[in-house]
Amino acid sequence: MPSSILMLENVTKKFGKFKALDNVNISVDRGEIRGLVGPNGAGKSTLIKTSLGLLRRDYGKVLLFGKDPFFDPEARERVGVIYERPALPASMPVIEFLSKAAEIYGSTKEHLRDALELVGLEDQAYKPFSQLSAGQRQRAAIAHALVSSPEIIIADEPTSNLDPVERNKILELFLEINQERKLTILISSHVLHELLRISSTITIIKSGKIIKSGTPDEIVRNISMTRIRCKDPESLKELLSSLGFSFTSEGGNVYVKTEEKGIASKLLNALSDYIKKGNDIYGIEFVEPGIEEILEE
Amino acid sequence: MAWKRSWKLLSIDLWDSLRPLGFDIMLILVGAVSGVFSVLQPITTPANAANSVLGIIIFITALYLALRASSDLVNLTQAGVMRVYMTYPISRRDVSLILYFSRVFIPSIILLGIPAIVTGVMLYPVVGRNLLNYVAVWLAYILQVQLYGSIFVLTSTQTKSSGTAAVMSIVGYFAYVATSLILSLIGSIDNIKLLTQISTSMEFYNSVYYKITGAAISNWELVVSPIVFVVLFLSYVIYFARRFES
Repeated sequence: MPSSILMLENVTKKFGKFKALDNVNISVDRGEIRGLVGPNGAGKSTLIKTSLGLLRRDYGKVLLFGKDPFFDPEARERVGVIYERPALPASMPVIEFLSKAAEIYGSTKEHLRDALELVGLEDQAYKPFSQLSAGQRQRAAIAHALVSSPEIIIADEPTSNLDPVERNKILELFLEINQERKLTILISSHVLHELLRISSTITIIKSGKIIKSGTPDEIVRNISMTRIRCKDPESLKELLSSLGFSFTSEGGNVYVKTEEKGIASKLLNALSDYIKKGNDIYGIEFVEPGIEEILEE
Repeated sequence: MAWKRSWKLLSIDLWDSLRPLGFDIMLILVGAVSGVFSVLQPITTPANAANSVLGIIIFITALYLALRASSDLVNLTQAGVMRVYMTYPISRRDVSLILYFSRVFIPSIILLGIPAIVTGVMLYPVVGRNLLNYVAVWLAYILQVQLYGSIFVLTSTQTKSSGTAAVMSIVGYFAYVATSLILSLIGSIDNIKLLTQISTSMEFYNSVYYKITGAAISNWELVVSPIVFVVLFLSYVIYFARRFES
């Protein structure tokens, strides 16, 4: 059994003269959670749509389960797909739509019940899709992806329309699906720290090109940030500048790059002196880097 | 297996295509209009019975299909439902055929079928004399609507806005009908037979009606509309299968 479920080789996709994907190579292995991270317009959705055969590539090769998904529908046989904006037929009760979808894949009713139970939507399943909340819609979309008895779930920014609580629940659900059902997951987002929590491999994409790929540790190894909230950011910035720290500021927050342990310790000592001099600091927090810091590197 | 899958997707899309309230109102409308027109006019032959009623109904059907087959299909793409359809293990060609069946073929069979049944029942003494002629004219109307429907679905694959798709489809339909009418008028006034023939050939039901009633009609006039339909339909299927992106 080949370990790679999805493989893109030198794939280029153009919209007119604009290159949405530029010579992209990526391989998603069985059992992994692959996070695809990039800013808006980086090409994440184009990569996912091209992987599914929804978009026609201009150059290169796409293989999903060893088949070209644009020409061979069987390539999508064991694939569950979740989109950023969950869209199922609006007026049809969710359970009815999912039953029909399950029949398309030849899945059983038990499988459907199992999927609804897993996403916690049993009580809402008789409502039309249009009457569900944003979180429930995304759960219905996940149930839809699961009724195909997939080996891989491809999710295009599945958390972007959700509030923080729902985001966490959905991410936990993906982790559970991966660990308990051994499903491979390709998930995209523009929020790096979300994917750092669940991914086994992260791929960074920008302007249609793969910038970096590796485990979460490899991606953020040399980049760590400390966020400091204080009463007088200007005086703190002066101090940091005089001590040679690299930092940025946003509102009342000052972000200091603390790549190495020595730097973090030096910063904490400096902040201790700063407080002793009578300055107020409201909070110090070590934070995971954002996509901007990764791209800057 | 592929057929079973296609059938399931067809049943999903039909739910949207034939959804209330629009379709129910259309059914009442075409049923009532056909009932009224059946008794308003002096009708002497089965072909005449079909032509006099369906000639009105085709207008209503075409406008309905312009919305369902064109505007609604663009909406389906914009809302993201088309992407869901396209991720099923069903070939792009089959998806294009499913959408055509649910958005054009089945609604047109129902919307032209009910008036045909109503008229057939109400005017059975006339229609019953030659049921074959009656059905032949009905089938001619069905084919004509498929021609319009092919224009509508083709339009839907080329536009990104449902409003634009609706306007383009309705304008396209009226342009086609007006062209036929203008050619017919000029042909009659200036006695240019070719223009009259082209006008007749553009509307398949007219060609079939004239053939049945024994009017002088060339064979080529009978094949123009079917050929135009086949070309448009194949263009839609081929484009969808090879180029369409959702």
